[in-house]
Amino acid sequence: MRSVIVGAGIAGLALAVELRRHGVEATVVEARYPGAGNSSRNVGRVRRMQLTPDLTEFSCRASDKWTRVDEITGGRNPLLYPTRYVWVLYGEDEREVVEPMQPMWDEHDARARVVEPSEVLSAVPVLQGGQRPVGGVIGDAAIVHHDAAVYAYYLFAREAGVRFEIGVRATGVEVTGGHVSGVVLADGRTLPADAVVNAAGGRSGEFARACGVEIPNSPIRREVLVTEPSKPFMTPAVTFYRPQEGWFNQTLRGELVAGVVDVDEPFGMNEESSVKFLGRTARVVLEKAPRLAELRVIRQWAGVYDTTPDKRPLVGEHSELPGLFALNGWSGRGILLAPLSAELLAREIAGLGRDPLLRSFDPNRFAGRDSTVTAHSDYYSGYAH
Amino acid sequence: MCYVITNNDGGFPAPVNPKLPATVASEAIRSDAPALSSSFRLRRPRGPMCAKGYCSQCEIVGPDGRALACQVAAHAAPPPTQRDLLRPLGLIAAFFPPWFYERRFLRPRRLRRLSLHVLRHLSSAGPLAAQAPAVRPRRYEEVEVEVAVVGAAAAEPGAFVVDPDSGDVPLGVYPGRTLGVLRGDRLIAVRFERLVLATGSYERLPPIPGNDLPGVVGIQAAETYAGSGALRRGLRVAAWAPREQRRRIESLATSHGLRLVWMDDRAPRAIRGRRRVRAIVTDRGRIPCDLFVVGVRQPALELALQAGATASLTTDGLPILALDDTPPWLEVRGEAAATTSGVPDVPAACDAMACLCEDVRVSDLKACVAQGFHQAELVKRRTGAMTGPCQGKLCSATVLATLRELGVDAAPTRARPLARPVTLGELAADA
Repeated sequence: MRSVIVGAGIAGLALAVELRRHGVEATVVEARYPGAGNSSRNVGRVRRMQLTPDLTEFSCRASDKWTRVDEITGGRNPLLYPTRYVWVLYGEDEREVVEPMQPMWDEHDARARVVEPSEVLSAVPVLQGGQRPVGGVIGDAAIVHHDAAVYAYYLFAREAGVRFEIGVRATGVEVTGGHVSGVVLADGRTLPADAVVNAAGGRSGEFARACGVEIPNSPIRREVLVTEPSKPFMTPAVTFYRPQEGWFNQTLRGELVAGVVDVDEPFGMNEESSVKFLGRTARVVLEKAPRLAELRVIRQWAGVYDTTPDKRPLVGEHSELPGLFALNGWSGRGILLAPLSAELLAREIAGLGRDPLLRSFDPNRFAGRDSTVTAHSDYYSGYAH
Repeated sequence: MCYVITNNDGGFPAPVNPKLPATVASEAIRSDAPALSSSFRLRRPRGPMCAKGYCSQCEIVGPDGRALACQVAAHAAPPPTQRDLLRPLGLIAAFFPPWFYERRFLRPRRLRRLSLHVLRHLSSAGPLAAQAPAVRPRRYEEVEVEVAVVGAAAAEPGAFVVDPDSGDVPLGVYPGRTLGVLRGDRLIAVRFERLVLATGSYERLPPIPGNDLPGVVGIQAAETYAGSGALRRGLRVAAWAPREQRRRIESLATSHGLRLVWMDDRAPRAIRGRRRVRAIVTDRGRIPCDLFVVGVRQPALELALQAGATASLTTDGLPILALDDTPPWLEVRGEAAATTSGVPDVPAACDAMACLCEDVRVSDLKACVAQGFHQAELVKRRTGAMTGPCQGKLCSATVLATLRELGVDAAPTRARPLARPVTLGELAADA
């Protein structure tokens, strides 16, 4: 059994490592460098609670998987820092959405609870003096160092005999008798394969189309800024959705990473930064946490969320092209979901069957649907499916 | 060619009246205690280097939070003189590479969080001030101009001139021919047809041991400190500079009564001293000195690279990053357009500091490449080199030259805004 994985991000690398555990040959094709896409453009948040039962169940299992990544990668440290997720609520309407979630979270051991404003302020003291929250959700979470995790998988993959084709783009697949038989590279070579996995992150839609398969993934830009390091002033990861989606947390090294989204951000592949982002993010974050004003921003960058209409990834085999597998469409949860998804997909590729946990991640679920367009929506209504 | 100057022991002109305001940094130099801060990982003593605010090596913690000593008036804060009590920790850290954590903190499992927690608190970074500074969000504006210019030296009639020396802050060049600027109470996105950059240059540090010691300063910094009366008469100065800079250094020495004890375009073998420069070591032996002046320059290219220009390491003499191609609408002038360092190449010493902000030594770069990280972008993320507050201004040339020597693709890594650090408070705008 030979497999070729397109994309050396965390998903592709994790899958290569998991496939080797089942004795499957793996080659990873990467156009830029390992981790070049969103695996090095994110802020490494791993959280248990989500807004739907299926995502919560999967996220809890995926969080548990993260605590075993060091064992899977030959004793390398992905710098998983267990902390709390503080989802700060500024609108009464938000409380009305999250309060009914409590039993569902308890059922799945999401370790999250809806709390009063005072508890939010004591969990995140830098919010004191800022806009007054109406409540919050505090849950177990972790922050992983994305580069440490990507390199742990990358170094172990090489030790485990995974082959790499770095600096060359995969342009499509070769099909023999209705089944995928290889990957075509931009330099003219074809790598023979029984299974080809599309783990191309923000370029997954592009690669799927090059293979003749339509998937509804749409990339949408997310921008980030990082400040110089500072002594620890907060440990939790903060997220809020009013007046618009934004988040910030302090890294292990002491830097603040923050971003506030543009509600009118257009869909499309865009890894460029913008001027407006700086002004918007600084203003909104300081309205919430005024003490952060003295931190000096040293750099800004951007990545994309590879977004699907139902905000769930595609993990599994495409029924219209056997041998082509999807491992993409993370919709902003790649770091959280990728290690467990890779483990389960590797079992499927190795012929051990499909795990029931993957039931809502079927890559063929959009076939025949009228509306497969990923649309802008408020965070909360985006899950009302 | 090396010449040691011994004939300027007497007959100094009268000291020049200080023309520039004294800063905490200039006071530290004047009082012979240039060590003002402690480096991030190895906790090495660091001091003022650029005097312009881009090297970020002189950050101090004052009553109003953190500040760069070279940007703070002397009367506003006393120069901190206390030693870093955690320096021994830095000496231990020096035995480990920047990815020291890779096999550590995994056992025992139940102490994992605690180990990382302790590690966070050992950071040498300054704390957040107790009081939130007052912030008034700026107005966000978009303007369209024919020509935008960065650097007053290149000002032309009718152009939108961004002058960092008079308070404008260029943030970066963005897609769609857009320049981000802070000016007065506004955050401005300037859309231009043509862009002229006269962004000047930074110090190109020699890749020799001791290149990060307090007392290693740039030539502009030496002039600034001399101008604020911080360089006392008789101060022993060693200078590493291309030949065409010699007159400039000699005239600085003459007008301020400095003893120029060594000047050459070949770098010394090492700079020595415990908490500050005490001597240099050359082929001819040890030469005591108090200040090491770096006259070799690295063009300031980040705005040009953000605009889509390409650059590569020069092959003539000591490598610097120099422009190859620029888009037709971009013009780079002055020191930023330099194409040679003007000094002979220097083999990089293993214990030389390549990246000062992140404490990455030449040996760390070599170890990283030996592990199979064969792209500059990977080496950058693995070691942290070029990712600190100076964003590679002081270190890109050294890091990339080391990689090129090791046979690794040494194309410059992706240049991203900001051009220099700016606080969140200054950036807040109704955008």
